[in-house]
Amino acid sequence: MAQKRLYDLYAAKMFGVCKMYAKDSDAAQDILQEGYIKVFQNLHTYNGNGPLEAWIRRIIVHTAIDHYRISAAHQFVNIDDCENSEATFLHPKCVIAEEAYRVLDKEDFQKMLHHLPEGYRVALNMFYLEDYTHKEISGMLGISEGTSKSQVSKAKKFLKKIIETVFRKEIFIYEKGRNVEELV
Amino acid sequence: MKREETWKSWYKDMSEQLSGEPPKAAWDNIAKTLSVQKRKTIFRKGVYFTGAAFCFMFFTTFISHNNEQEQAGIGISALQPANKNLQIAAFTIQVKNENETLQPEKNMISATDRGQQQKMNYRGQLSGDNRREKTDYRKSITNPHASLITETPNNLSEISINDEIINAAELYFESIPPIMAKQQPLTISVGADRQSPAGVIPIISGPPTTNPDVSNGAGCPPRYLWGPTTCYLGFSTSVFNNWLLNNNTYNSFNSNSFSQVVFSLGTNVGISAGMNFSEYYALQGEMVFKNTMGQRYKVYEEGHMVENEIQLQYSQINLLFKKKKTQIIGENPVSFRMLAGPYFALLHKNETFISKTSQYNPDVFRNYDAGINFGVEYEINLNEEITLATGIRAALGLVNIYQGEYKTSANINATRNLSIGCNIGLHHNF
Repeated sequence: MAQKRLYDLYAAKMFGVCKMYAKDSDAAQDILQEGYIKVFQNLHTYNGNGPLEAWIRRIIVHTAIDHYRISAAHQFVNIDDCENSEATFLHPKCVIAEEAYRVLDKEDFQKMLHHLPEGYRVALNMFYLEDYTHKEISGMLGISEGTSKSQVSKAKKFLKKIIETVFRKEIFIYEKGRNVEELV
Repeated sequence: MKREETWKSWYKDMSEQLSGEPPKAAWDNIAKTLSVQKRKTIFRKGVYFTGAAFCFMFFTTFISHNNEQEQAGIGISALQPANKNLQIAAFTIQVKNENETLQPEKNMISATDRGQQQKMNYRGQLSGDNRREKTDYRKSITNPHASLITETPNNLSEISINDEIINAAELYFESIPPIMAKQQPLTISVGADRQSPAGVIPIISGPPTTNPDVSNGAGCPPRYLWGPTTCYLGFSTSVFNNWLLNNNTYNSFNSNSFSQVVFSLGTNVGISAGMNFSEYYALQGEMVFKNTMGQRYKVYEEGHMVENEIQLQYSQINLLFKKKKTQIIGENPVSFRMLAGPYFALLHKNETFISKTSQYNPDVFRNYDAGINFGVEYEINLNEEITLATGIRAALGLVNIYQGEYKTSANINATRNLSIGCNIGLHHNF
């Protein structure tokens, strides 16, 4: 079956994309399913301009954004909430550890991502992974351009703090292998 | 800058590491959904086809009524070219009032009109005490300019609604002159056979007439209620609410949705010109200026609802087919009209406001739109020359007006215009 072959060809990569946007694995699977249904329904509109993979990825990303928009749980986090949240990750003995970036594995990275507020995560992915401009992000999410910039900036700062705090050198040495969520 | 690039590179690398085989259930669910949707598509097309057939029927063979007996007919008609002749096939169902007296069996030949001949047969019979009546209605029209192709095969059925309605269904064929007949130019008339028990049957044949011999001769039904033709000119204006049929609108029905579409009033003003082809049928054209469409919606942003607005301004041409039913109220004839027809619109302004500030204005909307208007309208003749028409009208765009390079979540599916509102017009009759 041609549809199954097409699915098998890109499903693994696209599932990775879904994980970047989704709050958990179940949500990622939902996005993947919905995205591929749209792919098959609109396959006739693919005009051959650009790689098929990029076309599929765009649909998957848009599906993820749709999920984010219609999610009842979705909330834009304001700066006060953000600061309060960050405080829970700070430890008095924390030091900045650049090594944390190098040693972070994909499971830990995924868990870190899931600690990001959903609005931050989506804006961050759109800006750094899909290379959308803030103008485009504002149009797609229905927010102002300033809010888009703010979301990306806060998201990055937020993620950095999680990583650098939790994976400070001492903790990493003694507690490597422990679940990130436990550390958090 | 370098640090930013490094961070971006690291982030991308990490994201690529997340690739992995999805659960097997994912494909199973996709396959199942695609299978269901295929069946739904077939069903939906069937519904559309039935709806289109019904609309066509509704505006061609709607309601018949006369003073002697209340009756209404409804049916389906279709045109098909066959053997150099244009044929009409009509299937009609007729409703009669319980007080209607039985028609005695009649055979009559009407007065001829330009060589045409019409023959009517009525036959009625009682069916026990249940006040049911079966009417067999046969009709044939021959024209000397064409050979008679089809005699009226009859498909009679009986329908009862409560205890008062009896009906006949008729399958009706009629032949008319060849389109290219040299002896007589082709004239197509859509007429009403008012006294026919089969209700209004569109008749395509010969020139229209109001010949009294044909209309009133010894119970003979009138044949073509056509003319006198009159024209009118005037203006019209509308106040309506408009929507963009997109995900934002659909999501508003979900109480958990973060977006909420709110009312967005629009107005337009235009000039109109029309022609009454008969007492019942009219064609009207309208040129509408500054027809404001678009959408207003609220989204949840940073702890509060922010109102956004999309404004689309069109110039629009409407073509409306009207079917009229007239009642005498007081001393004035009041006409109730159903109207439907296509529209074509050109976009000359689009603007998007986020938090009441024009944030971006990409060329994401097509510079044209096309769709259908439909509605109802009351007409009051203020005097012999001036007519006031007021009614309710809806306009539904059939074109996906979104054409942006990237699909926003609001527009990832088709985006179409919709407006519903009140219309008022003033016409001068000539």
